Amino acid sequence: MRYPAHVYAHTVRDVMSQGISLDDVLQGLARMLVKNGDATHSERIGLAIEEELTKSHGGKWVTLEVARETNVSERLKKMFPISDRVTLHVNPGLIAGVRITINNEEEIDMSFERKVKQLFVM
Amino acid sequence: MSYDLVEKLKKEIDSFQGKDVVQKIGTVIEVGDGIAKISGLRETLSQELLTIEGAKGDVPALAFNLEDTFVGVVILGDPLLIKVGDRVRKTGRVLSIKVGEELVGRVVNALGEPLDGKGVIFKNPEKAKEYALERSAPSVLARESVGTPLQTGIKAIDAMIPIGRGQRELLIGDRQTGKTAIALDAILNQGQDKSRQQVICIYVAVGQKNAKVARITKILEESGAFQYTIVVSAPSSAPASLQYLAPFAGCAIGEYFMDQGKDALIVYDDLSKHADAYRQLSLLLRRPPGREAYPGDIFYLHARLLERAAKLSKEKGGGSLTALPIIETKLSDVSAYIPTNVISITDGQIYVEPNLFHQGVRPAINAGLSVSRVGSAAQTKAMKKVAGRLRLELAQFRELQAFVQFASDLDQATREKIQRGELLTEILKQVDGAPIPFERQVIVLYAAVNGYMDDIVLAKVKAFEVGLLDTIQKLHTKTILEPLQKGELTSEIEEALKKAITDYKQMSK
Repeated sequence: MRYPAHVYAHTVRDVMSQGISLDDVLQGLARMLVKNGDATHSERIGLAIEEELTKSHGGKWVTLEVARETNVSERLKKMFPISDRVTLHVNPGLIAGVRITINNEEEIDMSFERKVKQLFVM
Repeated sequence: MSYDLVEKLKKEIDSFQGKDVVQKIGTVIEVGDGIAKISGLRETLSQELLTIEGAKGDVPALAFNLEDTFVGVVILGDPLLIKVGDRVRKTGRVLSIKVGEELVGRVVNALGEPLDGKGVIFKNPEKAKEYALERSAPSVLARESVGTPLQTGIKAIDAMIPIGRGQRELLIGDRQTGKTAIALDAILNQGQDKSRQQVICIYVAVGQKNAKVARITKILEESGAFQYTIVVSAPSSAPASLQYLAPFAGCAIGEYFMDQGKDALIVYDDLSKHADAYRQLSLLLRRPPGREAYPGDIFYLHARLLERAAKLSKEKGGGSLTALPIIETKLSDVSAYIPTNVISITDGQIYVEPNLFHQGVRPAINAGLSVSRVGSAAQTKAMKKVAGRLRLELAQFRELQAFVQFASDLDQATREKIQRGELLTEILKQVDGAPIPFERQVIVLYAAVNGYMDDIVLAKVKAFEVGLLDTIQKLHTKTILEPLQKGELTSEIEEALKKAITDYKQMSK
């Protein structure tokens, strides 16, 4: 990539803070990505922009990982304020339990996999 | 047995208290070429050890670059186990290595893992001490002057460029000129020097060929030197991260023995490749390149490593760590960047010349350019007596060397000086892998500087030397060899020596 995803994300945030409309910003971004040759990384850049905009509005980027499909996923999501962006993933590697990651910087790991790892290290 | 195992597991599970805590984590955003970039983990400390949770196991990494949006890390394990998106955790620890007496006789890598196939090193790893790879050098107050000789077993060095325990002496020269051979002889000779405390030797191989490391290991094994030697190996096939860390690991091991009050010797072979590995890591992590593309702190890299070699004061145990760094020059250019850096750090240098090597003068030491800043403080009294005249006569010979081809047109005194210089040059030649104990060096040099060998043809000098030492070994051990081991050439020993040499000359005619 010509520029890292977080650089595009910060740029979009700064431009939007000047009052320019989202449509104009996205069109400008698309042209810039094509010009820089980073169009193939648009998905990653899009995620980074979404994360940055969520944080700039005071929200958190929350990732919930569960070991298997659950019928309480919507209820789990609703436990967080509306400003937070909550995504749910199924990660069979956890074996059981849930792992919550906040802003990709903090986590609360209540999975069975971590407990087994801790037990065998001890 | 399975019942015991089940009960043990039940006990472990019952006593397990897994607390759910909020932990700081990071995510791998880029990985390749032995380095990775981690987002998050804003509170990471410099040189902190991190753990990357790969799909098939945890991989350790070292925090190298602390940027505002990511942390640049150097991967210490298998980078193929890591992919983008893997979680990274802090350990809160700096990189350290387990040290102890059990390391003696083993070949390990920069992380302390055994490479010799002899099994685990520490039977009780939890009882082994941990020494950080990066440590502060001893302070001024913790040191004392270097005063005990480190005998290398090489006449040219022990006589004219003496090394003391706690000194840093650089071995510098072009490729294939015998630098490693000199260092190896120094290690081998520590098994012969029984007059002082045994020196624990550490050989650090950085960026060397695996075949060379195997050959050196074999030499050490066959000569019995492995009883007091440790090899730290980071060959050229090892990742740059391990080549960068190997000298620090070796130094940490040496410091352990130094802190125990023992004497240790560490050979860094070689620091040129160490600098190249550090340059590679720095360029990959986008640190600004300086002269010759080395990072700006390349001097600090070697300075902080070599400053850890010291002679500690009696209050601190009196131990010492002697360093023999090796630097490879290109086309004998000692004024290049890395050589000048290390020359300014060390307490002297031994300059090995390719011209001398090809002329058959081996070890190919240029005594004129070589220096030891510790000097005669690191020599026994016996050696001082013979070495002073040796150095003077060789210096005079070097000045007159240009006239050697006109020998027939010169006056008698000049011709004698030239003949004496040629004799001394021949005396100082030595086969590698055969270090000579210092008392025998004193005997040979005494015979040479006092004119007892002036009438020996150059081609027969070596045979005379061998015969003389053999005779003294057989007939004069109690009167000459053993007393000389105490380090002084008293008048009684001198008289006995004169008689022994004269008798041998008579006998050999």
